[in-house]
Amino acid sequence: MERHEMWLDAFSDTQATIYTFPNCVATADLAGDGDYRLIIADIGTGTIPSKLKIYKGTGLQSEVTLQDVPTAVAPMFIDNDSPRLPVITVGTSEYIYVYKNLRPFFRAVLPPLQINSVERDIWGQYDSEETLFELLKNLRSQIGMSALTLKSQHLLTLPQHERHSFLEAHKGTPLVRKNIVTCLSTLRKSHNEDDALACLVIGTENCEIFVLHPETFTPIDEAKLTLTDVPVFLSTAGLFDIDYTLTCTTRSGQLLIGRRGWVSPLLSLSKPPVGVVCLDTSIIVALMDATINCYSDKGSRLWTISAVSPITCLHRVQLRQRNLELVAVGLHNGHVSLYTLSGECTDTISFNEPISALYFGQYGRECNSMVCVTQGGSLHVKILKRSADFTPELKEKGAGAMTKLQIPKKTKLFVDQTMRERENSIVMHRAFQRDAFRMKLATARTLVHVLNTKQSPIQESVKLSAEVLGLGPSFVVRIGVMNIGPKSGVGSTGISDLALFFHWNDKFYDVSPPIIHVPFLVPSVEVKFQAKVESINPNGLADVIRVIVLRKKQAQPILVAMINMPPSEVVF
Amino acid sequence: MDLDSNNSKPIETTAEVSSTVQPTNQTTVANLKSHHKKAELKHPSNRNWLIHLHYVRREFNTCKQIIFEELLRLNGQSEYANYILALIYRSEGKMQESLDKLQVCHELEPTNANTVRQIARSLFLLGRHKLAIDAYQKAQMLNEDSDAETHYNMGMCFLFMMDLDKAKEHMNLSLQSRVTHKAFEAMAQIAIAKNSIQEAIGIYEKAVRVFPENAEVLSNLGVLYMKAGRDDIAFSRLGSAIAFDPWNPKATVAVASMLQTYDDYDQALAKYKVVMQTMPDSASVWNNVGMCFFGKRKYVASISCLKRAYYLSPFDWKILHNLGLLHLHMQQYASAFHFLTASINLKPDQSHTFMLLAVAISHLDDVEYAKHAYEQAIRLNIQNITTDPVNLVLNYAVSLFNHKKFSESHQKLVEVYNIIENGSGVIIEEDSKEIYHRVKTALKLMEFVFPDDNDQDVITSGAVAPPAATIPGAQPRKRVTTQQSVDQQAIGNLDPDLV
Repeated sequence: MERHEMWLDAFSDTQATIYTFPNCVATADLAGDGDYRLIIADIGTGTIPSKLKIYKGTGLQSEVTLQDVPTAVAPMFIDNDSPRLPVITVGTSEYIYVYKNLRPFFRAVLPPLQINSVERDIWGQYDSEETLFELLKNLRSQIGMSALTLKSQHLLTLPQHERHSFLEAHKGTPLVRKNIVTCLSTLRKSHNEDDALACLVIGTENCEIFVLHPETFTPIDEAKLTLTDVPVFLSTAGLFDIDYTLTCTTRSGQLLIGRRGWVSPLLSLSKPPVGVVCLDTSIIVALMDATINCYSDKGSRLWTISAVSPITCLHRVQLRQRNLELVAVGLHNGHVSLYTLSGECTDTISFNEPISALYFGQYGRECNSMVCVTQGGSLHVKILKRSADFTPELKEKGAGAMTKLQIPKKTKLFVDQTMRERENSIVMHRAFQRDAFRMKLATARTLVHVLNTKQSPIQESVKLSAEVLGLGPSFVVRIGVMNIGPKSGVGSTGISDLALFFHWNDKFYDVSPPIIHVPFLVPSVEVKFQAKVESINPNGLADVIRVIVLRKKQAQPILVAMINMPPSEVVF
Repeated sequence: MDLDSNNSKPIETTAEVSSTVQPTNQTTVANLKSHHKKAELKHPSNRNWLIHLHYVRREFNTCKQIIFEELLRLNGQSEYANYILALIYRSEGKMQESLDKLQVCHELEPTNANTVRQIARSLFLLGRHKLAIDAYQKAQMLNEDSDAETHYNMGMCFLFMMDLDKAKEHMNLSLQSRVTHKAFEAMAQIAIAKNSIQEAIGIYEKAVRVFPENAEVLSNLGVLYMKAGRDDIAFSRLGSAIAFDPWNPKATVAVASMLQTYDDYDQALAKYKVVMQTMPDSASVWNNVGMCFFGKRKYVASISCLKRAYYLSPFDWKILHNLGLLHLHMQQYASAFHFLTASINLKPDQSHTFMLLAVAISHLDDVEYAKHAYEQAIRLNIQNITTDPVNLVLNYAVSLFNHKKFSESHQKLVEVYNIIENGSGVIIEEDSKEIYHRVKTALKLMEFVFPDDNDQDVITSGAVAPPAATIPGAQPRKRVTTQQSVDQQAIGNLDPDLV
C-alpha cells in the first residue's frame, strides 16, 4: 500500500556540526512573540567550544558560549512578570546557568556535600606529604573515592613527583565536595498552564534529586529525594504546590517513582534504559537491547516490541489538536519510527545517519514540528502535514502460516527403484549379505597376511617424517627417522642396520643419493637426512617419490612412505 | 568519513575544555604546565553522564574514546569510566581484561556492591563458579538488603557445580525476596536434574499462578505434564501458552505431537507448518511430520520427510526406527533391514526394533535369523515392556506359519492365548483378533488343537476369515503393531530437542 508522505521538510542544515543529546534540545517562545525558537546546547567540538545555539525560522539566530560541557537544558518561567518571557537554564557540572534574553542572568551552585570528618582531620594536621598521601589512601579504601573531597581525589590520582607542586598550588583552597548535575526537568509550581511559574528539578551524581525554588534557586528541603543509584532520565507530572510525581530511571536500570519526600522503586528493568516517556497511566521505556517496553503505572508490563537496530533516543509526540499521542523512536540505522501507545508502528522517516537527538514540539508558529539531529551533526526540522494519517499499518504476520510445507520431491527413478526392490528384495538382500561377508573375509585375510609378514602396525618401530624444501627444479627432501619401538621408554633397545631407499620415476626426477644408510637409532631421538631431488620434467609436472625403509638382509620393507612432490618451477 | 568526524569529537572536546579553563588560571606561568588549577578543580566524575549515555546507545567506539581521555586525565583512577570499559570489554568477549578493569573499580570504590556483583558475573562467565560464589557473598555483605538477583546468580553457580541442594536453597531465598520466573525455571531445572518430575510440575504450577501470562512457563509446564502422562492438563496448559504467544515453538510442537497421538494428523500438520517457519532445521519436527504423513498413508511424502530428518540427525535411532518401519510398509524389506540394524546398533535395548527386524528378515526368507530376532525381542520385552506381548508373539506365530513351521506356530499361538487368558484387562485390537482367528482357522484345518475351542468368549471376532486368506494375512498385522509405536516415537522424540 502506498503511503502518503506525512512530513514536510521545513529546514535542514547538514553543516550544523551539532554534537548533542536529547536532553539538550528544547523549544521555547524566547521573545514572547509567539515565534518559538529552537534551543540546542551543543557539547562542542575541537574548534568550537560548547555553545548554546538558538535557531529561528530557517537559520541560526544567536550563539552563547558556555563555560563547560552542558548536561541538559530546560526553558522555564521563573517570574510572574509580563510579557511572559522564559529563561533558559543549562546544567553544567555543578552549576546551573540561567540565561535571560540570551544573556547570562545568574548562576546557581548545587549545595556542596558533607565532608568526612576523618578527612578534614587528615588535612588539618598532616606533617609530611608522604603521610598525608598514605592516610588518604587508607581512607579511600574504607569509604571509597567518591566520598572524598576534590582535593584529595586529585592528589590521589597524581604520580609522586607532581604531588608536591599540587599541594603548593592548592595550599589555601578549602576542602569541598561538589555535586554534579546529571539530568534536569521542570515542574510547574501552582498553575497548570504552559507559561506558569515552574521549579527546576535536578538529578545529581550523588544519587539525589532536588527541587529548586523558582525564585531563589535553592533546594527545597522537604522535596529532596535520596536514591540508591545515579538518576539518568527524569520526568515530572502534576503541580509542586498540590501534588506531583517524579518518574526517574537510574544507571543500573531501576525505575523509581518519587513524590514529595519519598521515593520507591517501581520495577527493575532488565537492561539500562536509553529513553523514557512518561504518559498519564503508563511508562514507555526503550532499553539498551533495542526493545521498547510499555509498563503500567502499577509496574506490570503491557507490551514489548523489538526494534530493528539499537535505539538511540525516544521522544513523546503529542498532537493536541487531534488528541493523539505517539512515541518517536530514533534508531541507530537512521530511522525515526513513530509508534502508537499500543505498540504499533505507524510511520517511519529515514535519515542517512544514526539519529542522535529527537524533539517534537512547537517550532516557529508550527506546533507539530519534529527536530532531529544526526550523529554526523546535521540538523533537520520537519513539519507534520495536516493530512497525516496515523492509522497503524496492517500486520501481515498471519500470512506466514499460509505458506506451504516444503516437502522434498521424489523422482521417477526413486519410484522405479522402490518397485525394483519390492520385486527383488530377497535377491538384493542376499547379494548384499554375500558381498558384506566377502568384504569381511578380505579384511580378515589381509590382517592375517600383515601379521604373517610382520608388517603389522603394532610392530611398527620406526617413524618417518618427510618435508620438501624448495620451489624447483631443485628440491631438498628432508627425512626424519625416529625409533618409536614398542619398548621405547625405559629399557628400550636401539635399532641398527636400517637403510632408506628412494624409489622414483626417472622421467620426472633425479634423486641423489638414492640410498641412505641409517646409523644406530637411539629410542625417541629423531635423526634427519637429506636427499637432493632434481626435477627433469620439462613441464615441471609433479610425481610421487616413495621412501622405503629397509632392514638389511630382509626383503620385506619395514615402512613405505609416499612423498607428494609439489609442481616444479620451470627453468626457461 | 562521517564516522571519523564523529569519533574525533570527544577528543577535541577535552582539548577545548582545558583551553577554556586556562585563562581563568590565577597562578602564574610556573603552573601553566600542570593541569590542575587552583581556581577550578575539575570534578573527576563530571563526564560520567556522557559516558553512560554513549554506552546505553551502544556507541561503543565513541564511548571508549571518551573513557580513554578520562582515564588519561585521571591517571586511570576513574571508577565509572573503568566500570563501563569493563562492561564494553565483556560484550566484546575480552573477559580477562574486563575482570582486570573491574578489580580496579573495586579498589577505588571498595564499598560499591554493584562492582563486586559484576566481578562475580565475570568470574561466573569465565567458569570459575567457586570464586564467583565468594564474590557474590561479599556483595551481599556490602549490601544489607536481601537481593533476589544475587541469590539467583549464586544458585546458578551451584547448579553449574552440580550442588543441587545448595542451588535450591539459594533459589528459594531469591524467590522470597522477589518473585521472578527465571528463579522458578531454575528451581524446576533442579527438580528435573533430581529426576523428580512431580516436584518440577509443582514448581511450575506455582510459577503459573504468579505469571499467568508467561508463555514460556506455561509451555514448559505443559511438556512436563505430557512427560508425566497427564495429557488433559498438558493440553490446556499448552493451549493457554499458544493463546498468549501464537509463535511459541515449544508449545506448538508439544500440542501438535499430542494431536498426532490422538490421530488428528491434519491439525497436527497445520501446527507443524507454523513451527517450521521458525525452526526449519529441526530433525524432530521433520520426523514427526513424516510420521503424520505415514498416519495419513502418504508414504512417499513420509519417506521424504523422514529422510530429511535422517539427514539432519543421522545418529537418532528413533528416526532410523521409523524409516525401517516405513520401508517395511513399502515392502522394501532389504532397505528396512538396513535402517533397523542401524537403529539397533545405536540403541540395542529396544524390543520393538528387534520385532520389526524379525518381520523384515522373515520376509527376506531367512527364518532362522528371524527366530533369533524374535527371541531377542521377547527377552528385551521381559526386562522392559515396550511392545504389546500379544502382538509380539502373534507376529512370531504368523512368521513361523508363513515359513510352514506349523507346529512351532501352533505353540506360539497357544502362548498368545495364554497371555490373553492370564492378563485380564488386556485390550486386544480388532485387527489382532482377526489375524489370530485367521491363523487359528488355518491351523485347525491341519488338525491342531486349541485350548479355546469351546470357549468363544475369550476372543470374539465378528468375521472369521476363510482359511485361504491366512497366508497373505501377514500383511495387515504389521500395521496394527506399529501404529502405536509410531506415535510413541513421535512424542518421545520431542524431548531431546526441546528441553
